[in-house]
Amino acid sequence: MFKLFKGNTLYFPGCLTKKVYPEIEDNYKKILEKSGIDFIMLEQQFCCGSPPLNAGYEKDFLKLAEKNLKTFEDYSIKKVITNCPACYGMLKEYEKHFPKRGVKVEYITTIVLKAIKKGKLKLKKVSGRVTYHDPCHLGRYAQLYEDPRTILKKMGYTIIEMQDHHAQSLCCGGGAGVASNRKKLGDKMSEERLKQAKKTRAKMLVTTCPLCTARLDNPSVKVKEFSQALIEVIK
Amino acid sequence: MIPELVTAKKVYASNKKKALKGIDQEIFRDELRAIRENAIKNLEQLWKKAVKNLESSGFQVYHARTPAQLVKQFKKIVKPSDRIAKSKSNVIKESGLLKKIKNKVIETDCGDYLVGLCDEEPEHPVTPAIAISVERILKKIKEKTKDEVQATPEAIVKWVREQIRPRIFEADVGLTGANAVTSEGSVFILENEGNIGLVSRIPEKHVIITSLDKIVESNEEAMKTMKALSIYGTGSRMASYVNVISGPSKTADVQKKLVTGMQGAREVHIIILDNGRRDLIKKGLSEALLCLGCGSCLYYCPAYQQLLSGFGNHYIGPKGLALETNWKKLYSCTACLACKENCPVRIDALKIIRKKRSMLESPKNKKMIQNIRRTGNPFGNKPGKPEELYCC
Repeated sequence: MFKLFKGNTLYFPGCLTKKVYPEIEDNYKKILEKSGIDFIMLEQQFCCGSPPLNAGYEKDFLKLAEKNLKTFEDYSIKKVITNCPACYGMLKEYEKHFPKRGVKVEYITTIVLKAIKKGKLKLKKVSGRVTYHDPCHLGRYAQLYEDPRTILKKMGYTIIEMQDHHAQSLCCGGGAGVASNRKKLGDKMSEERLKQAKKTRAKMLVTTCPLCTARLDNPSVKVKEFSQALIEVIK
Repeated sequence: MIPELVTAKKVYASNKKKALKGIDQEIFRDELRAIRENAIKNLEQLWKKAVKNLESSGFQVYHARTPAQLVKQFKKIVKPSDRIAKSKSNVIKESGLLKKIKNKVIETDCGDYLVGLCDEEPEHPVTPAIAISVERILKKIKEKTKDEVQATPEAIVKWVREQIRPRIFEADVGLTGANAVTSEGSVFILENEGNIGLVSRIPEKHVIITSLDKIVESNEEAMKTMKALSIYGTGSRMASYVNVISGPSKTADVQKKLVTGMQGAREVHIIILDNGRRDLIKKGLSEALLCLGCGSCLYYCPAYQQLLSGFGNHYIGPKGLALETNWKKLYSCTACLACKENCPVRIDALKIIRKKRSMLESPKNKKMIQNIRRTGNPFGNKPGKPEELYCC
């Protein structure tokens, strides 16, 4: 299991995926396997630290980061792949708090896109109009806008942008504890985003963030987390 | 999102895009950030220099630690019988001055005048009447003055002009804010309406009320700040007027003897308010003081779209969050950072929100933080979808 020279690659699903949406975790495991990625997973995984840090509990964040970094070192992990936009940003921020102890972090769509380009991941062609919701933590926090869109296009979808997209994307109303602290306000923000989605008349909204998926889930617009859209078209 | 705001956002975004044509936005924002960072980092030193230069140019300078001190100083300068013509200023609003004086005051800013007429609160730092519909304005005009005004922006503006203009000429005191004060001793005030030019020059006395964070090192930097305020505040390449005031009006035309008080104001007073700003720096919240007050962030803010002026304390947006004393309002912000994306100085709201939340705990976070401490994840060990999704 240990590849001490080259180091291990870890798939880090994030707490929301692991604890609340295990189906998404299963999807990504299959997608990574089909992409020919040799990865390991942790038996016990800790939170990346984003919720406590953004709620003002810096000490708790530092403890979690320290625990995670130690685990990465214990398992000779040189690269972490995650599907959670918040974990992605947070894990990359570790280096700032723990100089020289950071690990390489890659977002799952970067891996998927590489696998498609190399021909390892083969897709059935589908068609239809979809819209893509940029999660704040992936877009404005990490400037990752195009990979998910490129993959959706490679699946055969036509992307219809909402009024606010890319760097000007409108938040789902769930981030940084708003959904749990002020649910009504958060719901109003989600409705605002859904209004934009409806206007595109796309057949579904796809997003890469599990929290955005949960927040935008509603009876009138079909919402899919990225892996749910991808798994259907993998050969 | 109310329809008035949808329209305002559309117009603003398209105008801003046009105004930025030919400007490398990222270089421009780097320069502005550097100007503001330098100003706040060297605040004390720059103010010392500014006071010295302002005084030597004939300004009378006062420093107010609190709004109460400001009111006291103001009452020494202005008699209760003086009629005041006032322009829009967020620092005057913050100080609560108008509630503490008995003078006759005319609001000369069109937006502020309409906000007062309609018994509303200003909903935007640059465009206070942003949320008021034409119908509501007409109803209030009829209710309060019996005047019949056509339902067009042109007719309303003409009516407002007629109400305000004669009263500026009657005023004893002109009361304004400032957009920048330079360590070289000049005050910069930006405007489109032309009311500030009149208010600062027609009455005998001009009183400027401003705050510590308005300091900028040089006049050149202040001009760049005015350009940014124009572009990001209203979407125009440059506002119609930049008033640069460097003392009372004066002439030396008779025998080289300098006489103050010619066509402009005879006395210029400037009160500089602290009201917790030095404290913000001490607490590690100086990021909030970099704010120019253009309000660009608000058009893109999901919380503002729902709450308008209910999002913030005195100041709407990230600066207001830094001054917030209510934990609930700190949780209006989703840390989506659309504000930073649209801010001329790229103010990092995340830095402010993390710091403020560490100082003001939310009781609703108890479960999340307990789960983190006990189980290492925010949802705990119970399987299934929890009631509250606390994440990211």
